[in-house]
Amino acid sequence: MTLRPTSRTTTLMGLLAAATLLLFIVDMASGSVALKFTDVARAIVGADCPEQVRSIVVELRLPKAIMAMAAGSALAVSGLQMQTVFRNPLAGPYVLGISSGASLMVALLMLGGSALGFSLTSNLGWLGIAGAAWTGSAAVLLMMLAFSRKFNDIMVVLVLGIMISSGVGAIVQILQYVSADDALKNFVIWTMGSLGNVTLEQLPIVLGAVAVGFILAVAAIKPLNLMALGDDYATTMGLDLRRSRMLVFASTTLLAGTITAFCGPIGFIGLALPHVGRMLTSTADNRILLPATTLIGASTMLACDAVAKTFTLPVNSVTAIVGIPLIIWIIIRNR
Amino acid sequence: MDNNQKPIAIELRHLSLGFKGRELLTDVSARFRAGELTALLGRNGAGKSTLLRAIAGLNRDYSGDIVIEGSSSLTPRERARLIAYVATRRERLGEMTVGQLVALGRAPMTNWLGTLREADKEAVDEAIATVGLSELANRKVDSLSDGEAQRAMIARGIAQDTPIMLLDEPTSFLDLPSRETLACLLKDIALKGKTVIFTTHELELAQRYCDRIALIDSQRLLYGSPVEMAPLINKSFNLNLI
Repeated sequence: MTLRPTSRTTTLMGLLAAATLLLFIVDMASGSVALKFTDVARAIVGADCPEQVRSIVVELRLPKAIMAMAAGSALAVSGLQMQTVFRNPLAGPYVLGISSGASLMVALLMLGGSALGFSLTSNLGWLGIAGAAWTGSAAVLLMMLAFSRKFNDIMVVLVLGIMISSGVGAIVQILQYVSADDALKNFVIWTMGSLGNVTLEQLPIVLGAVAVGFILAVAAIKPLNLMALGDDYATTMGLDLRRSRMLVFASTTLLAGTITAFCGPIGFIGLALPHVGRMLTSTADNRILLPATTLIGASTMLACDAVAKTFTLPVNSVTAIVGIPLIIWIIIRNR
Repeated sequence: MDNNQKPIAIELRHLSLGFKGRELLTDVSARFRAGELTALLGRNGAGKSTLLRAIAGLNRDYSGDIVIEGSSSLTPRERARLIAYVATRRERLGEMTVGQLVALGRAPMTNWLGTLREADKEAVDEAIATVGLSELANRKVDSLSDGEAQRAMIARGIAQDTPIMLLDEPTSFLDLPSRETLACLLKDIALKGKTVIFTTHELELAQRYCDRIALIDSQRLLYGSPVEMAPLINKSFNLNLI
């Protein structure tokens, strides 16, 4: 037998799905007002419960919990894709500067645009933010691809990614320095990363874009499996590398770019969680890794959000505290 | 069957080939026939790997024609059905097992998701058995020795089930017994009717196992049986001076 029995994989997926569901309810129950699990469950399914509970759960916490799942799974899958395409265990939307690219474009729009009467209060404004983030992440991705092909050395690519992030950071600081107070405040809050900025009306925009990203990710499963062997093998097995890369990059742009636009830059999820997926499934097959990483991303982000709400912390500081030890462990294990 | 009656698998027609602005082959014509094991020899930088990559479709920087099974204009997908390529460098494959690696060789035949049918699974098992790795099928490729990993990569090529197999320096990084094992393996593959070409620096191994030897020397491709080629090889590598 060359193929591992699938029963273990099925059990694992079941457990991950159960964990996601459990954390979804925990996340809904946690926050400044403590709610009973039973009330939360009743509110979600539309059963009889106090009106106040219903309004907190459905109008405030539900969009946030859905965003947490979308953000966690989108960033984790984007990290999985980047690690495969760049063939580097330390690649991820944050490390490669993709989030920075998105940040820069958003900063230009939020800080520069406020002078031109750009407003965040409208849905059109948020669509503008999303568009800016997509443009920024796609631009950085293409740049990093060009670098990685020219230098063929993964350290160079990583150092360039860090340089891009620092360079963008500097430009953003300059923008902040010269900006009006209102726009500045909006932007600073955005950079802290929050899952709570998204209203029920904006949710369809986010979920739609992320869903398209996931459809492209599924279409990219076989190309990604082949790319894991390197360009030469992928090419000689009939893969159109250019097209496949574009497919993966479109997917990552939609996944990481959209989440960055609406939640701000959230680090470490994209870098660390694909490794958790590989460790739990002990496979390199993206047909298993993609769903596993999706569930791990969703559940981890729900847990981080629950912690962030309980201690009223910005969510990206929680993801950093969870992610950094994981990443150090990955580096040590890869030695 | 007489050698000249075997069907032609690869034909080079007036091929001129360069690498980074340096001309490596000038107006070379040659024919490689089905079922033959050919060693491609030459000094460092002579253009062995560059020629192999050109035949594999990885290097388009040439003039003249490379005709594969009668066609000189193959799409990447068509080529993947005709040529399997095995590189020198060992890749880091993380959690990938031997079975998963070899299964990827079926990619040209599988659907958009890469689902393995029964026939694919059989081909994968058979390819692993051919290289003698059945016991290690569920082991991670990264945990294998260099020789075993090289054989796993070759099994991936066998699973691709192509009439032509190209290997770039498969013997480097291998100790003497592993090199012998590998040469026997390549010979067996050729005996099954495949055209096998590999680049190597192992002159003695090449002369002992191969049906044909191709030698790149001074931008020419010299080609013949091991006996015919012996004096030319000695001259090219200055062996008579030692």
